[in-house]
Amino acid sequence: MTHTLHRRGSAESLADDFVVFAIAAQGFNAEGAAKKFEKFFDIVKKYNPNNFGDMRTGNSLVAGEEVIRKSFKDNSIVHAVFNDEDTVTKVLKELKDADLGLSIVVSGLVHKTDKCCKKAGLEMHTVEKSLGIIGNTPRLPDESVLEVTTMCGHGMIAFNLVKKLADDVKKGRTSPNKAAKEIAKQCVCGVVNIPRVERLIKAMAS
Amino acid sequence: MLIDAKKCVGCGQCTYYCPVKAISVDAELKKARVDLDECVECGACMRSKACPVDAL
Repeated sequence: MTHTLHRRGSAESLADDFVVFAIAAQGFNAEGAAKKFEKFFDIVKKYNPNNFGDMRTGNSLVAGEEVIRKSFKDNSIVHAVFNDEDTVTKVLKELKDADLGLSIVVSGLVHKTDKCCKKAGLEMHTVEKSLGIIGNTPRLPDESVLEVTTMCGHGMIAFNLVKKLADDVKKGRTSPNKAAKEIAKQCVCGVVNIPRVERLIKAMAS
Repeated sequence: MLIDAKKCVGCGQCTYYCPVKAISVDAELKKARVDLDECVECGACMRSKACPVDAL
């Protein structure tokens, strides 16, 4: 299971949103996984992800590359976020060749992810989908806010923060890029797609 | 999560960062307060470094 599958939005909005991450199964292949995460990180970093992070250490904006690289543990989960299919395909090809012995998970639109896998010579063996939100849904904010907040599957992005920053952008107090980065900082795992947030915030502010 | 009322200046910056809306500013006291029944101890407010006087 991955919390990155809770991302919401139209097919058009999600078309440039891909998360690639590596995870070891505790008690099965976790021993010595820290070294493998380093290799995974080296590979994904070559393709300039717009955000990355290790859920044990933090994201690209708060912890930074150096600290993340030095801190891999056997129970790390290392993420990288990309914006296009070609890059994801190249990343997957290289990960396939590296054969790290870690589980690799890709979150994205299923047909696009499938295409990336096939081009990389891989077959998807499991597809997981979010069932959406069950409960007192009238308490939820607008879909435009949810599109941003669900990029952190652990729910660390506050609805009010998104509304406030969109308002700040509208009033010229901050830029869409700065607002997107402030939002991305809240997600420890580093799975927020910064350019997508920037686009969504710009649309909310206009 | 607790707020040091002696340090808090009531600016309300921390209120925007709480994912469960557990932080509010008491209009009379002009201090932020955490509703401990709502707080899930996620630490998002503290990690955000939104507090200018380190009261969280």
